Amino acid sequence: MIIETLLAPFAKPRAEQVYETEAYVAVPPALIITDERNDVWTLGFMTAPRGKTPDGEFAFDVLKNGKWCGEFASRIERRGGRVRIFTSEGWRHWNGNSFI
Amino acid sequence: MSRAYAVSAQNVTVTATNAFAQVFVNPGTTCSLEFLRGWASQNGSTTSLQNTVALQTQVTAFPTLTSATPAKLNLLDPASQITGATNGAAGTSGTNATAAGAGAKSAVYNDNFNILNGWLWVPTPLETIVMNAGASSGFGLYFPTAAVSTGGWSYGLTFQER
Repeated sequence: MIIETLLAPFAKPRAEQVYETEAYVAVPPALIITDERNDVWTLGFMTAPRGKTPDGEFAFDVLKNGKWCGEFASRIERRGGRVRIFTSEGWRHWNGNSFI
Repeated sequence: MSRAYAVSAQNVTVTATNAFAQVFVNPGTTCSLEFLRGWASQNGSTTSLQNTVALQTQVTAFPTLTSATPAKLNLLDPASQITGATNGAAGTSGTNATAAGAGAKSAVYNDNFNILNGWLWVPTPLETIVMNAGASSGFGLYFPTAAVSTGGWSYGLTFQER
């Protein structure tokens, strides 16, 4: 978490919402997704442990407003107003509290 | 991941007319560098605009930079073999070039991005870029054309020493 604080100021939300990321934007290649609640989603610097990585890809900690939300993923997408992540177990959707 | 380091800059203003290196790392003679991530974002504009970005190698003469010492991603690791310097010489790193340097550049990866969403390059394991020890060229993150907005840029590269 120290590393994220030092290197990823972009992971924190702006004081007030100035824009909302369009639909179908994915991280990567975008760096951040800003949702309708001004929450900022990005991938952190912590590499996923063995068994938590989708085949053929690196996976990293999923950060919400600069804090790890307990998941590792190789991709974050926003589709239909919902944030979803691609994990070693496939796609998981954010329900407002956790990924299911 | 051991011996992984990041060279980055935060909240800097880039020159409006440049096509310079934003982050530049030149491997020394002691170890090769495997580049694992690159990123760029800005907070100076809320207008939706497209910006170019490229990962390039450059031979001497190297760019003139702001010195930037690699930060450890694992705090238990030793300090990086790369040290901060302003001249882009072998074994050094820096950011936010103010002069391009006459050395020829070779593009490895070109892309464009919306500045509101930023840019993140995370290769698959087979696509990582390795600069061998003793290479006569450095590696960097460049804006090949002038940035569409100059203020509030943060960007960086992470690499692992091998």
